Amino acid sequence: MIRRAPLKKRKISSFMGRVPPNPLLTVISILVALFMSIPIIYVGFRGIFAGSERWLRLLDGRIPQLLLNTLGLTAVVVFFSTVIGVSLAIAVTRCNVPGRKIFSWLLVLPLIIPPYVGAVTYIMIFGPMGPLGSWFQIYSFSGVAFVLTIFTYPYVFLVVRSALKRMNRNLEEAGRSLGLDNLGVFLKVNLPLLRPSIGAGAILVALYVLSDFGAISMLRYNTFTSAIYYQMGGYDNVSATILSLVLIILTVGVLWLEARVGRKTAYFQADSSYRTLEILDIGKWRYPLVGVILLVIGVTIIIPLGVILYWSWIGIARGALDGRFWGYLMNSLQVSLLAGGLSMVFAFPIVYLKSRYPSKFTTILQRLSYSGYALPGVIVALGIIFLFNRYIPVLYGSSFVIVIAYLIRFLPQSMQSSSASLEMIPPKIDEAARNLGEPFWKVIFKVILPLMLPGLFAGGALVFVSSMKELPATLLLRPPNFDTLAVRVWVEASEAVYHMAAPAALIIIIVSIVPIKFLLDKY
Amino acid sequence: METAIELKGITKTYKGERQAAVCNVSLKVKKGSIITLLGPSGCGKTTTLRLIAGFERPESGEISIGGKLMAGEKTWVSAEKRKIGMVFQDYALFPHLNVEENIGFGYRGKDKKERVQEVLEMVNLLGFEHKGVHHLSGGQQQRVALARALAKRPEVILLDEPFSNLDTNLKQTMRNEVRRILKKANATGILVSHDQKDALAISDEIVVMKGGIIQQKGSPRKIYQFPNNAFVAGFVGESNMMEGTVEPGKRWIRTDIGRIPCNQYHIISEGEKILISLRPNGFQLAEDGEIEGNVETYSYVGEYLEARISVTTQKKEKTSLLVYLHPNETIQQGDLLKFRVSANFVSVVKN
Repeated sequence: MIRRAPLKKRKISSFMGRVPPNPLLTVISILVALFMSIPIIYVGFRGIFAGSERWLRLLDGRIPQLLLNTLGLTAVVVFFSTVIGVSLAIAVTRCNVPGRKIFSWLLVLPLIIPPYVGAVTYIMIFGPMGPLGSWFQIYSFSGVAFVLTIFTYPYVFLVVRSALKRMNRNLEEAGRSLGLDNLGVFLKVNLPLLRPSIGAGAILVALYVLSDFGAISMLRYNTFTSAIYYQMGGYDNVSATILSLVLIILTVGVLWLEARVGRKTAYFQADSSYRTLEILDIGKWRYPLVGVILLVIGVTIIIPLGVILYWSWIGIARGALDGRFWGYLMNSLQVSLLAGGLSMVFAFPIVYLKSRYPSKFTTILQRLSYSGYALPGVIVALGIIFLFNRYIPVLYGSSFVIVIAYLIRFLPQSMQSSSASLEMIPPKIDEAARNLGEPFWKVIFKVILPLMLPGLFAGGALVFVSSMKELPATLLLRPPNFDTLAVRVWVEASEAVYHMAAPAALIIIIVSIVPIKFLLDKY
Repeated sequence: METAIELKGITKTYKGERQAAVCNVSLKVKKGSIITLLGPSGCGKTTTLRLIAGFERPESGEISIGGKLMAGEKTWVSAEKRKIGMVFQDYALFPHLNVEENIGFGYRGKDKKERVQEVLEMVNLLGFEHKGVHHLSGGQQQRVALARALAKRPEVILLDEPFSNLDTNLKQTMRNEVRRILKKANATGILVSHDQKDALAISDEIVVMKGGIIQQKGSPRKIYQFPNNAFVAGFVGESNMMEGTVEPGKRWIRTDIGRIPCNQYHIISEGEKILISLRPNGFQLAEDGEIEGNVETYSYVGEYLEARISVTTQKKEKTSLLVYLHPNETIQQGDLLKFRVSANFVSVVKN
């Protein structure tokens, strides 16, 4: 007969997994997870208990308007970036467009331009002082929608392109052997199979639009993020919390959609009999298509880069690279490097536990550390202000709070990267090392860490780049006179001092080239 | 008998390849029969199948299905317009559709529902209509793939390596099942396989291919017992190859290890020097056997006892024979054994 453990013990062990995790690693993981999640949870908590009077007042007036603005913008941007992303992905993977290999690479490039920098470039052109100022009102709904669309469509493009590449050719042939022509195969086989990827890409765009502050505020549009920012600027933190809670609910809603879509992505079986997909001959339609692709590349890459280079050149000629500029650069590097380095240290314990001791408990730890992921920087900043103002005032007012905000926002990037490289090391390696008589910590330091070092560093680098670009939390949390490059771009551009904004923007763009390689590898 | 498929001098060379994947292949398939294209990878069997399906276009030759020209010098009927059902190696079931939707996919008749039920019954999957295809086992997925291919009552069903993704036990069941289902549907089946056991078990006729060329065509028994060249003899089962001279009367072949009986007297002439293939199953232990040798090595593989017998030739050289004995026999290394050879397993082989 099988002896069973007492009920209570069994419950705990099923919660913690079969093998009890290493205690020290567990404690560190719990601390990191709490550290990552408490500010966010606190904002939610404060929002719920903000008082019914405030809630009613906001629900009556601002919230409906903001919902309309935010959801309207999200819908329009998601729609257009999906249409552009999906059609371009199909064009460069499945049609015989000349130069499609180069195009499929160039069309991803807009991701190196953070949307607020992109917004600056189009303000430089269509703004009141720009050469084409009278052609198009950039400070408008269509202006914001345009800028966000052209800098977010690559998310859809990347995801759909990779799905198209992995598509099982046999499925298309099965469709044809069952009597469908080219169009039929596309509509009834390809499109349904692509739906999860299109959905995933659209969700990435939606999450981005919900969280964007820089481009939206620069183009003087009003959504939840900018409203929260201005409420905090006016020291009305209670209203800011309420708005934050609504925005958190919106974001969680989108994430819930993502989880539902994600469950269906198991469509792409590893196909042993893999053959390259057929490239469709679209005849003379190739040439107009090339025209469209060149137009997109021009609008998303060549024009923004050209404008930035032009103004940087003017700026440098006028002495923009003075001592203060190098000071901003040092500030940026200081907080971003610290965030990148710490993210590697913080990511490892949780990632290791989750991989080697999978259980409900480690899943919860991982989920908690993802709290700040996809949430707007303004909300993270709000949580940090609440907590540090009240409980650790020493740190509040030092640049260290910025590092904490970066960690909360970007640690998941580091976790994803290191977890991907840890999953490549089979647990049998750990067991072999243990079996050869090495204690737990020695196995970690002598075997696991050296093996996953590339992934760990890649994660740190991603966090570093994201931190260099980060705007809203930095704006809200920076101590007096602590400006980063991103902050300078925002401030100078708001005051229309373009030649001072451009060199800082250029550096941010150059730094942003780094993660493109990771994105291309991932998709 | 009516011809379901006819290939006439089909040649196909892939872009960037110098050698033709399929070279001047001609083949007639009788309606309602099951044939297997058998050969090692790269032998052109899959290309032949894809040519019939219409996924590839031949550069010369003609393909007719049900008497109608599908591909020729001036004719080209695209894949979706050929009345062909295909079962893919990985089944290629649409993951976004359930069993019923997969089977009914592309079916245009008004009796869709009834037809789906009909083929489901044929493949013994009634009750699985609303299951998602990834919840099915390998054998069930294959049944669905087969049902989907059958639904439109195609002239021909093509099966690409149908059993390669199944484990041994299931493989045996599915061989019988696929044969039963195809026969019940009265469909003409063309399989592609690299596994001789699949081919022998399921086919009415086997076409052995190598290097894009048909090596031999015939019933499984004919292919196994009387391979007509060294490649077929070696690829389909194992074989002992030896040279010999035809004795007067053409009933015996004189070889280095002794006289071997032969039934194929109509293709040989007295005194001719020929190459023969001797299947390991053709040896029986017999006191009065003419061939004798010592057991070199042996291994018991369950269905039979596989032994290497060292035989001394008339020139006093040692040669070794592969022999399958009844698993009941007990032998020891070094034992001297005498054999009789059955003419049913001796084949004259072209060089």
